[in-house]
This record gives sequence, C-alpha cells and structure tokens, in this order.
Amino acid sequence: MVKIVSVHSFRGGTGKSNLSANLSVSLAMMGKRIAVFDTDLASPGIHVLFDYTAAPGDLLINDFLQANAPIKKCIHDVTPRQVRAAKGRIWLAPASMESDKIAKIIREGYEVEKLNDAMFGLIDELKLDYVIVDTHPGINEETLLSAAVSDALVMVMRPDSQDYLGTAVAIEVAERLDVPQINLVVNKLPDCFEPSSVKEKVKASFDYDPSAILPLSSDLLNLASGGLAVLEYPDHQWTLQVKQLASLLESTLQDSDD
Amino acid sequence: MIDLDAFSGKLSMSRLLSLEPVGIRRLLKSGLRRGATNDEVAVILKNDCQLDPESLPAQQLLEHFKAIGWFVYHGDRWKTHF
Repeated sequence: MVKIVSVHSFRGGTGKSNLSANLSVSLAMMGKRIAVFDTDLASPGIHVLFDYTAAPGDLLINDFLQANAPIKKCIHDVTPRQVRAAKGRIWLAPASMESDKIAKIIREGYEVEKLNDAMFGLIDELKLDYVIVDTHPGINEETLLSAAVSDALVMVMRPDSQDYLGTAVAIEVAERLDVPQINLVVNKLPDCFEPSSVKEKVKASFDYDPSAILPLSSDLLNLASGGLAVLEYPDHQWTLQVKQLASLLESTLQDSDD
Repeated sequence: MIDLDAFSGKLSMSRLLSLEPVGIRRLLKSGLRRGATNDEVAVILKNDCQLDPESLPAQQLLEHFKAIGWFVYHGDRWKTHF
C-alpha cells in the first residue's frame, strides 16, 4: 500500500528539500516507485537537486492547482541512472520558478483538496510505493493538508533555539491531526555539538527520539544543490544516516500495514 | 451532545484543526485521502464521537455536514470538502 511522507520544517533553511530529494532517492534505490511533490510553491527548489529544468510548454504543479491541467501531465520522470539500475523510479511534480506564477499562487491560493486529489490521482496510475511531499515551511492550509493525509511526517530542524520552539508547535499540530508517525530529524549539526547531547535535548523537548542527526557537511555545502548527496557521496556519514532513515521509514510504515 | 450550530460556514484545514470534540476532527479527517466507507464512518461515530451510528443524533450530524457541504457521500465513500 502506498505511503505518504511529508517532509516539513517550521522554519526555512533547514535543508528540508535536500533531505526530501535524498530520502526519495534512498527509497528508490530499494526499488521503490516514488512521486515527489514540490508544494513549496512560494519558494520552490527541489527540482534543482534532480537537475530538472522546465522546458517551454512543460506543465507543472501550478498548472494543475490553478489551471486544471491533468496531473499526469504535470509530473516528470527524473530518475537518476543509478536509481534506474536499482529498478527504482522517481517522478517529480515540480513547482514553477516563473515569478508571475509564484505571485499568482501567493495572491490567489488554491483549493487545498486538489493537492489530495493530485496525489491519489497518481498513486494507482503509476503504481507508487511512496509519495514524498516537500512542504512549505511553517503552518498554512497546504502544510496542514499535507500533514493530515500523511502516514509519516518527517520534521526537520537545526539545533537552534528558534527551531526547537517552532518544531514544538508543528508537532502539537501534527498530534492534533492524528498523524500516525512523526520522525524528527536534526540537520546541519555543527562539529562543536555532541550528537548524544542533542539527542537527549530533543528527547527532553519533544518526547521523541530523533530518527537521524545529520552533520553539517562541507561536502554538501560544496555540492551546493548541484547533485544528490546520496549518489555523489555514497559513503559519507550524512548519506549513511539518510539511508538509515529511509530504511527506518520502510520498516515502520510497512509494519503499520499489518 | 454535539452542538451542530457550532459547525457552519466554510471548512478549511485550519478550521478542521480547531474543531472540537476530537471525534469531529477524526470524522472529517477520514474524508481526506481516498475518503471513508460507511463502515469506517460508523466506527468513528461509535468510538470517537460516542454515537451509535444508527441513532438519530448520528444521522443528524451526517445530514448537517452534508447540508453545509463539509462531508459529502460520493459514490461509495464519504469525502471532506473545503
């Protein structure tokens, strides 16, 4: 049965899109079929990680949400070569980078239930195993909908006081919406922080053990969204932990089917 | 006793989030994704809303939600609309 995983953060700059993309690839490397939705419509970016550039005439998720374009025409196969070799597939529903379309979506919004319809319109058609939703930071109608329909909410935060406060709010909202599974990920942990201390602080703050504590990595900074870390640096500590997170999601979410 | 007058106007996700009692949130959440079957709705009414699904209050609740367009039966499933 398909699983919907929303990757969210209360604040921007947490590496949410980077994690969404690399988590998608890690799952696809297990032979899974993945659709990635970029619902960060005000500040899209995940397409860059998949090296996708919209060609003239390409339809994007904005065209489905605001112009009733068929959702099947708004997704694009972005499967990297290594993923294809592993029998996985990744489709991306990218958001528009055109300023007028971004302005239109901010100005007019859209009916959030269309997001729901978009996901479930594709699940059967593409025989998907996972839908990964890269959300807009903070709390708004779209992120609430994404959380409400998710089997798991991956909350990304930095070890920063503002992130602790914001993440607490987001978790409270997710619990109120009965999200079945919440996975906390601490990202961009500087060298000077002791992971075990951060783990204890996260547990004390939220009553959840972090599912991953990912280091701030100069290698990732050098990559500068110019590729997918799990493919470029397969043995890097950051990559290994993202793969573990993917395995954790795969095992826990499949267990929830039982 | 659920006060039906508390449920009116346009539904939004932020409105859904604020609804009480919790059974109402669960009922409306069940109408997301692919929607809820009659059996699934009956379980929520019984377990989360403490209403016998066949009872008059349960039927009045569903009729009210249908009337205001929040929770509508389509084909074989209940769907939540915003």
